[in-house]
Amino acid sequence: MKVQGAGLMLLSEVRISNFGPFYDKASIQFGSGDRPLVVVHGDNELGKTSILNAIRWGFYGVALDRFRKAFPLVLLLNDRRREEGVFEISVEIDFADGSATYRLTRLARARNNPRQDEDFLVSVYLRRNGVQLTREEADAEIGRIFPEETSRFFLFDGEQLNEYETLVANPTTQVAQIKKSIENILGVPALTNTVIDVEIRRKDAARRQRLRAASVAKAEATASLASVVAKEIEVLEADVAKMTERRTQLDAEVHRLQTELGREEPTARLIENLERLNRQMADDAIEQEQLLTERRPLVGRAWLDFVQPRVAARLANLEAQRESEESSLDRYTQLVARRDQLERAIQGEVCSLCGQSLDRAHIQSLKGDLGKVVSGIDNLEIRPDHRGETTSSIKRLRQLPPGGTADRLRAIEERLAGLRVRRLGAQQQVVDIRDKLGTSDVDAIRERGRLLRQLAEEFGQLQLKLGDQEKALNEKRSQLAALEAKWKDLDDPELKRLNREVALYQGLFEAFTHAIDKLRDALRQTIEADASEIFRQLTANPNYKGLRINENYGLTIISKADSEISVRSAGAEQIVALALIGALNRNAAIRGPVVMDTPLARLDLRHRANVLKFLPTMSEQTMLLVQPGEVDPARGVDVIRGLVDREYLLKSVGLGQTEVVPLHAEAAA
Amino acid sequence: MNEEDKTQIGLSENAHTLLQSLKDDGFIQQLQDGYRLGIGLAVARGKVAQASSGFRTIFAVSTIDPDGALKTVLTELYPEERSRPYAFAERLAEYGVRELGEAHKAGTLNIGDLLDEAARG
Repeated sequence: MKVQGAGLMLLSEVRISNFGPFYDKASIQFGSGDRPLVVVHGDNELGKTSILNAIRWGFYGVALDRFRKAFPLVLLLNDRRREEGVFEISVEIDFADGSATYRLTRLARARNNPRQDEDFLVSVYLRRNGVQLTREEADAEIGRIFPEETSRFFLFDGEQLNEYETLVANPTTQVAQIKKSIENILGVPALTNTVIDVEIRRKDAARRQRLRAASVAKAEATASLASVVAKEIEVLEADVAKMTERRTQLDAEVHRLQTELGREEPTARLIENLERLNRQMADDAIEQEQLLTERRPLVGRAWLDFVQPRVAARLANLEAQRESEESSLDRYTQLVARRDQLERAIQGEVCSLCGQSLDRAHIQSLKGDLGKVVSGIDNLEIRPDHRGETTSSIKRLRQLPPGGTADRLRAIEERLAGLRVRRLGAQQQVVDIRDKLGTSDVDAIRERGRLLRQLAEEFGQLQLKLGDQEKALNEKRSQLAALEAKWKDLDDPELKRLNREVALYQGLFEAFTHAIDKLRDALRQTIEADASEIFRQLTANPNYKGLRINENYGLTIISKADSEISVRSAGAEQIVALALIGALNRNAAIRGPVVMDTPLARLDLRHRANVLKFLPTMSEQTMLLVQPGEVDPARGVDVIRGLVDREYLLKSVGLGQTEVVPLHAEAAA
Repeated sequence: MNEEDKTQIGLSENAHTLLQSLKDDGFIQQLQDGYRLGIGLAVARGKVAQASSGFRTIFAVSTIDPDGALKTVLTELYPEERSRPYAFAERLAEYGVRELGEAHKAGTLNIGDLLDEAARG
């Protein structure tokens, strides 16, 4: 299905001044008709994306990075120009729409070295057929010819094509935004705007209907209640609209942060490890301080544990000594008793045991025994007076207070040593991580992580609140409809007429809503058919039959066996996305030039050739910004040789300075 | 006639500095804790510093040995020093505090290891 009367915008020339790496002026001219292609070759960092961005900035005043985040204007100014004290960026675009020719000029100028975007004064001029338009006229004209909402299908980065993959995933607000852009380019707003208009008129008729009902006796009470409910509905609708807008903002912001954090994932993991190590070291430091605090009083008593082994040994000696002393004492007592007995027997010359008289020989023998006993007594070392001294020593040593600190002190020291080893390991890891992090903006990544958690929480809460408000809104709408139904049979001609008017608008509303659904179904079928056809041209896999579209215009590859291919490579994603964009361009209500940055980077050689052949058919005018590996200037361009109007080479002429050189002129030089 | 025992005891200037570092670095709560610990370590190792006239008085013996436990230990373990246990304690402390202080300075002071060494005898 081709949209009838679609406008056709064609670029003639783009002139860039002091924008990104382009020092002073650079110019690119466009072809059309039989030779729709312009190819710009350039190594990385020489300014391919800057050319895409210069065109985007020229039309819409915004330049985007690869994550669809706006570039600050201060970063767009050429560095050398800034050093020279020239603080002016400009982009001039000559284009035609139908029979009218246009010159669009966007100029950003700062008086002093700009530090922030606010330091620039930005001017926009649009001349139509040589006549200057007002700013409002200019905005309206650009919005009509080349609207920003659809620019993602004209000005795009091959590396961003994977965002269309999200269309086959679960619906999110991000998906809803892309879907809205798709429907914009397909012209669905013509009907959706009509529905909005009809709804405004229906509300106005319903308001007049309530006013009339208030003057009819039988409807007076319900009319008054209906007015109150209508007011409540207005408030709820405003709330829901505000919340929906905020939800959209949050979703976009969450998506952007997730994308950025995804890109920074290895760094984020390092930061996470760094934070874990810092937390561990902080916890260890607290535990260490607690252990040191506990150790101090124990150390104060530990001297007793140090002397304890020697005290124990001394006690053992003393106890052995006391035992020996006691044994010696027993022997002493026995010897003294024997000595006394012998002395008595010798002195009385009578046997102390049997009482018989002793003869001289016996007495002499007893005297010999007495001598031995006395000698034994004299030889004993331990005397009764020694015994008390040993016992006192034992008693004193046993009364020493216990140390009792050794086991706990050993455990504390062991734990402290473990903590020291762990701290050294952690410190080394921290040094390694810091080395790896290098100049990464750790604080900014942390802040993004924190912001993401905060926004995701806000999003969740808002979603719940929004659900409640929508439920309340539906209830109020049902209540209002029930009240309005009560006026249906009342005998008041004006009220009857207003009832019919409200019913008419309601009918129109439903008819157009239904028509939108029908249109969407028809568009989806057309897009599916066209995208499948393009996909078959592009793919090198003979097992693929085509593509199947879903509610969100997401496309899934279908095999010849009619099964869905759920997993696809980055290259296949790019082919599918190109098929979608090609189909959208074929069916667009708006037609314009396609400027594509790095279109082939993810593709193998066969797919590159297929895509190169296809790209010129996408639009009446296509600019390819390619890196050397993508299209070989000598051979790769052969595939499209007859379709190329001009080729340019981005040439480095100094650090951060690029010149745009017509390729054939360069070859001649 | 025997010389009377000391009532004031201390350390050499160097050992005193080491003892003060032990306190300043939070290893001990009070100087007397480190002084007694030094005596304990010297007793455990059976080591003692040479007698010296260069010791600087730091404590009254009642501060170091308020309950007489130290005197008991020394008189029982060193009967030959029974008449002047606190004078001997000063030499023990000089040895022990130096050992503790030097190990602390080197970062190798581990009281658990020292207790194990004392237990092995």
